Amino acid sequence: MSHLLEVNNLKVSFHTYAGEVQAVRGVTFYVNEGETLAIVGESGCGKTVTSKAIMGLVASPQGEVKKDSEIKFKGINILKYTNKQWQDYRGKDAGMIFQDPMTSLNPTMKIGNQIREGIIKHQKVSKKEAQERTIELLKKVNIPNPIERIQQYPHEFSGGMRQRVMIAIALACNPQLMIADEPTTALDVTIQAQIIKLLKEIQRVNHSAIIMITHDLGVVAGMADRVAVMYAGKIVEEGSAEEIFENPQHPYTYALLNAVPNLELENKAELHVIPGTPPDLVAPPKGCGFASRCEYCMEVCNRYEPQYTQISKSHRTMCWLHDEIAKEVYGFDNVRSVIKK
Amino acid sequence: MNFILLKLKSFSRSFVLRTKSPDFERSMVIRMENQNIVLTKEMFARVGVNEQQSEKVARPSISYWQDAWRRLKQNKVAMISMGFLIFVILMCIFAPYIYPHSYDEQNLAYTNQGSTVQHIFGLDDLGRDIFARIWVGGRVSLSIGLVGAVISLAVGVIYGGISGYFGGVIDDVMMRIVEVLVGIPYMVVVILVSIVLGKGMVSLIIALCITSWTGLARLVRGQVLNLMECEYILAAKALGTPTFKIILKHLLPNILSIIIVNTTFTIPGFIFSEAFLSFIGMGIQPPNTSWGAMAALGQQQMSYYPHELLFPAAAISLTMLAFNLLGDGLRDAFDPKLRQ
Amino acid sequence: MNSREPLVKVEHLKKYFNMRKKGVLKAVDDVSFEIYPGETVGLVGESGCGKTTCGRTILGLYPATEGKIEFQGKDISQLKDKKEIIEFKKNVQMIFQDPYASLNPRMTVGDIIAEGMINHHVPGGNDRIQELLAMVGLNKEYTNRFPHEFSGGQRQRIGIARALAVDPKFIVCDEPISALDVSIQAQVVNLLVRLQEQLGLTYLFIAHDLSMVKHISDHVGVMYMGQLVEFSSSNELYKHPAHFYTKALLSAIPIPDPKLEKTKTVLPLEGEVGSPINCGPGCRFMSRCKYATEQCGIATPELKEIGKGHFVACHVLENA
Repeated sequence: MSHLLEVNNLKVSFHTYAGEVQAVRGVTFYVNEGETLAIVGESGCGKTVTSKAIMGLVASPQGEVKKDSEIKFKGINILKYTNKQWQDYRGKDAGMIFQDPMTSLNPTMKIGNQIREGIIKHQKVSKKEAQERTIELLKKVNIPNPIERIQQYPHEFSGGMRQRVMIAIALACNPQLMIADEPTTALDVTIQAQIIKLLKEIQRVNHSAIIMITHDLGVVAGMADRVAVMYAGKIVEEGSAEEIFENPQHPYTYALLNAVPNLELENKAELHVIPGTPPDLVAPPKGCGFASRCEYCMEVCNRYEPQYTQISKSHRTMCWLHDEIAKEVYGFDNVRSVIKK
Repeated sequence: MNFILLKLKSFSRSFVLRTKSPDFERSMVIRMENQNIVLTKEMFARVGVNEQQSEKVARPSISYWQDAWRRLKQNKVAMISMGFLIFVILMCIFAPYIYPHSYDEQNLAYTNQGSTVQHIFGLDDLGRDIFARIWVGGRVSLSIGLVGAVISLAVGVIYGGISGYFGGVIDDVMMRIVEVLVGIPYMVVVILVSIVLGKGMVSLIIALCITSWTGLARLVRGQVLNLMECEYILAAKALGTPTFKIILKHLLPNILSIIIVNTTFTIPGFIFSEAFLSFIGMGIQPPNTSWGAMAALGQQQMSYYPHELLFPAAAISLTMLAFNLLGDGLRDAFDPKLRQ
Repeated sequence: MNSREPLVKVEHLKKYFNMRKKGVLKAVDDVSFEIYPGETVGLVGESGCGKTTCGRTILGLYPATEGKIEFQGKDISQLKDKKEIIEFKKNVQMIFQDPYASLNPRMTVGDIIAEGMINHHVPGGNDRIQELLAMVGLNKEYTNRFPHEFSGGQRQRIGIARALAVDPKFIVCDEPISALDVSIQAQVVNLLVRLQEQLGLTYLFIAHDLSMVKHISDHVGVMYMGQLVEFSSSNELYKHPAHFYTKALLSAIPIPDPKLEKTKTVLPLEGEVGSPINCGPGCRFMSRCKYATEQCGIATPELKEIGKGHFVACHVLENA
């Protein structure tokens, strides 16, 4: 079976004064047509860099995609694309929705022109047709009075409206792949719910694949088909949404799930936290990246990096707790029984 | 799965449970990226959270200025420009003392002579050594550039800072005054000042300074207005920090980089204005000289003795170019967006 | 409720901004509440509802347009004596939203924390700075480092250490967690709760995330376009939300459980917050409220007690 997008052993580094920051350290995943993959992780774990690499937006000379990395879109390695091919690919094959709707729209251009730009560039249509299509798109993302709205500038739109416009721009050429980089983080809860509803609806109609990037597992619960949890530049657990939410096999995934306060919890009770801060990838840890913050950390975690353990066909994780010896030393069969106290 | 598990020895389970003692009897060999790892049960002892490690800051500490200097050093063009400028400044200071010919010494037998070993850049129409004159003239040109930039910097920063910090009516009035000043052509000011004070270096500096600080004042005002919105200024206010300390510790260090860059770009402006005014006879008067005055003399001999124009013109343009390139480099070095 | 004297008393606070040509922006419009010592009052609402302005006005960073703010029984706008003003500034502090913008990038961590101590002549010097760093869980050796070397969560803790340096009684936490990752939010909230117990602090906790506010607060006020629409104890608010807006906010909180999330009914809250510039009379939530009646357009509803310590401002509920 071939996937819409296949990322193999993606490694991205940034060269800084402090040395080489290994932002993404060998990430492998795939996305099928019409499905939603959520990449979840804390800031600095490399999730945004991964999405930028897929869009070909890693800025050189500081940024560098390592040689043996592979990103296949419909079987073709897009890392070998020329500039012209990248331009065709962006917008037409893949669209991106950015985190901050306040800064990702050009403040001096009318909304209509910003949407139309992409349509005219990728589809050979007349100006009038493009205009009609723009209005249609704005209707699709539930912006009232689209005919008047296309004449307005971004500052006349509220945060939620701008994010809708961003989605419309990403949608302009019906891309098969949409990457949403924290699309709701900058928005209020009520607006957040609206945007997620909109994304779901668009996916149902367009049948496009979505890669949703977020730090909040709560946001993706209702939307993702599959979830990949990233930490310190690696995927530490990957599985279907149900597997990840109901049967997390990595202590980090479990801790992330628990970090969301439960409304039933007594007020001011101690919340479950992940202590400390993610490691600085200037000097990535030798062993497991999560070791220093992990309650279940063992000697071996600091020394060697764990390998992936396949839990089920779609579910894999990298953690030493899944090693035969660990199971024997602590006497358990299922890691789940340990990490859920 | 790209690793192979080899069980070397099997072991009864009862013994395994929570042993703390070293236990090498059972081990595993994993092949991982061309290296053999021996796993022992001992390695699976629980360590738990390592607080020291989990809060560690891995990067070396580096201040903003160190970082900017590091980035400037990487910029070859800017470093060459800086080297060139330092060379020019040192030559202006010391060359007249070392060089055997004085700038006003006349050698009428060899007027308009080209480059020789004795007179490196040749002689002018009055038989004066051009090499000596370049450095003496450079003293005037550079000091007008530097003094003018420093004065306009001081006035501009204080004026813009006050206007931006206090805002409201004060800001309105002060900015209207600036707008009026911007509207006066500087030629008019130069002529007026030289009528009152006579032509010369002092009146030139005064005249140029009167009109040139306005740009920086506007820039600083805009920056201060921007910074006042920053939460750390608000935090300082909430902590009860007095006004002058807020300006000194929070505002100034954060606009210093912009001031430095702007000043580097103003200096060539001053040098050029001086050269231009001296060229048309409004600036430095003989027997004093400057690059502009020398270029004016050289221009009269241009068709027959081009070296008399070439050297002062090259001095002016190379110095201006070096300042501009250095300013570009500084701007890039200070830009927080380029920071990694 | 409580026989003690409130530490902070806000009465009919109004803060208008004059937008010159556009008119008057009513950021805070007639808000009253009390905060008792050792308690936390939470303020929730969407961005632009005036909660931040409210916090800053209470700290005296903005002059109030109308109304009274009392701190320890004294009206802060009447503080004339310089000594009293300095004392007030020492007692009230603030924790800011953006950990990237709230620390001066040119100062070392030590200097940042020391700033308030120098202003208010707090003794202790370097020892106290290190003690404060340890208190917020940071390495003592980091005093000479610069803010940009730290992660968001660590920076926020430096901000907390800075506020604590002057030994305040009352801290306004202005969205201290909304710029942080979910996993780090819990760290900061735990720290704030622990510090409150240790030092007997009083908080005004401002956020747009109702779940965290509910967790940390004793009382919660829900703001909408500059006005309080509901105020009650946090458990009561969560269990028996009365105002339609509060209900919508509660239902919009995402739950990390795909089954619940896919089946739960989000109360539809269409549209967005209106403009607080030159708004007329009437309930401001009206445009998004499907229960709105004629009366809602005529008069602004006032806070009425519907249960013990539970106040709601809504015409529909009042008449029901």
